[in-house]
Amino acid sequence: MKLSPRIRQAITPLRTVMVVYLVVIIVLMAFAPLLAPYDPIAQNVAIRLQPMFSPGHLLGTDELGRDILSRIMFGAQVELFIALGATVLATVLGTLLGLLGGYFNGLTEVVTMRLVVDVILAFPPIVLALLAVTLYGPGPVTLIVAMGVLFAPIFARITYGQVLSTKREEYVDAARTFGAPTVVILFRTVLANVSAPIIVQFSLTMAAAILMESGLSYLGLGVVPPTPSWGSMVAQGQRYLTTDPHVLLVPGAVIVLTILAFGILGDALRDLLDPKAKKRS
Amino acid sequence: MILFIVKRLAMGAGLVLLVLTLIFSALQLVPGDPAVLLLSTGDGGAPRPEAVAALREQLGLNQPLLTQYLSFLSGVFTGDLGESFRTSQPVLEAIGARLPRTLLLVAYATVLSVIIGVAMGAIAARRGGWVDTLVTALSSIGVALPVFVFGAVLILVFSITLGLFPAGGYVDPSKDALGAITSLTLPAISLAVGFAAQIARMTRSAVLEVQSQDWVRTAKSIGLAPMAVFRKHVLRNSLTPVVTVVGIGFGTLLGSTVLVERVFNYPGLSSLLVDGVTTRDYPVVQGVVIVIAMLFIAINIVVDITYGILDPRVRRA
Repeated sequence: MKLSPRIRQAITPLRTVMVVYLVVIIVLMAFAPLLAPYDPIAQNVAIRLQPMFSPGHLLGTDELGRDILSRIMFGAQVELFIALGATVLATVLGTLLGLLGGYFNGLTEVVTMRLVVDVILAFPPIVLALLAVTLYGPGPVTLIVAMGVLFAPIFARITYGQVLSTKREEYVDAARTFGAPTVVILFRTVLANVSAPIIVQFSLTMAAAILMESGLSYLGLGVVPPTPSWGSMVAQGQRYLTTDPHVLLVPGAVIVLTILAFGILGDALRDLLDPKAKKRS
Repeated sequence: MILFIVKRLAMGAGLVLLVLTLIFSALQLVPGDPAVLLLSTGDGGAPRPEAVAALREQLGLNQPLLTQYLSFLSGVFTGDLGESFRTSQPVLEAIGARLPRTLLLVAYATVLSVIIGVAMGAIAARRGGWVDTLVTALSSIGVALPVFVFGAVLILVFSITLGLFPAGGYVDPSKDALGAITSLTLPAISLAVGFAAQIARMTRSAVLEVQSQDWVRTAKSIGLAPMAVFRKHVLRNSLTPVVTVVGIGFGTLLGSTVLVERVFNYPGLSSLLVDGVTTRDYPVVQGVVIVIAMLFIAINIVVDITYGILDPRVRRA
């Protein structure tokens, strides 16, 4: 198979490893009920705090004797489901805001880019998420909606900037002259031009969403126990840090690797789809 | 210049008003009765009607919307943020006690991030080769490290294993300044790592860009010592963009204290916020969110004005 130089450049050993890691996590997640060696919430105090590589429990057990590997696998389901939901919502919301703000001048521009985007950006994101959790209670739906809104401004700004430069292009003029409806121009012609940076940002936002979700779950304000989540596993592990650090280190390492993998995937996608971006940033 | 400052302040004031409106409407937009919602404990049982009525009275929910909005705004501007549901302490008082601690932590972390970030970025750009690769790799990891995981690892290594630093807690700096700095070191490092990584990346690319300028070549060719050229000309000109990131970074650091204060059991503003969220103490949560947002906006105005002073081109925009 012959690859173009651009694709060959975008593929490095590290990036390949990270993509393989992501595929493994996704497979483990998707088939967790089949592959997980144990029930993630089944307690067995007789075998509590088993070390790593102990027979039957590859990654050991936690303070209630629950299998850490199984909990990681089921935790991935929750983690990736919420992160994906939030990122999809942020992409759709943000892109719409940016399209509207960039294409229409005047009031629409003020409302979308000034009122909505600037106000959301006036808070540290996690603080606004905490406000949402107070009002709506913890849980997947709150997290998805809150993070979807919080991460939308990045997409709005990217789309907005791109629309401003695209709408003066001759082919957009041409489409308008031929009588194409505004909706078609927005979604077909203009959106096609912003897809590359949006896809890149999608991957980076996945990383940010996992970071925030695990943080909120660490505080006990994200996914509610007994549902396993990586963040709450770290919180439990901290209590046994002195005697059994693996209870914290295993989920901690999984969080770091997953965030890193989505970040590196984003870089790879940028080289692949949007080579000009490197010079811009 | 004065016009620029006035304009920026006016924009800031507008943003403050919008942010307050958003925070006000957050409670109003909740489906159903906010009082019932705040009293629900999550076990499915409905709260007692007397309690709901009392809470509606306390929050002023029985008044017309406009009256509520205006009294909310006047409350914020006169420093009346209501009283805690749990302790009945005025929220502003509780915040006043906690805020300096969090600001101290954030300031310490900012200093660490700038020193480490600028040093690493400058070295990477100047030395190139494997040093550059190492710094770039480290900064990728630094950005991806969740503060609560990194903080716990720091406790494991430097506190439990090596015994160099305490694992957290609070030491009053007015009584024991050295002890306060020592106990804040691990929290500040875990807070700083992500921001330091960002600054390192920025400094690196800024230095690389400045280094290739004609006047740098001229400075070298007239025989100035390479180190002097680097320090006086290259580095100084590379740092303007770093000033702006410090403003953005301050907000990120402030947000991250939510996690760091929990990891290190530090009784700052953010732990007040998290406790408020956990116990659904809405006046406390609302008050802290308002204060943090105001701080964030104020810092960004200061940064913009500083940037305008440093770089006259910005003023005209």
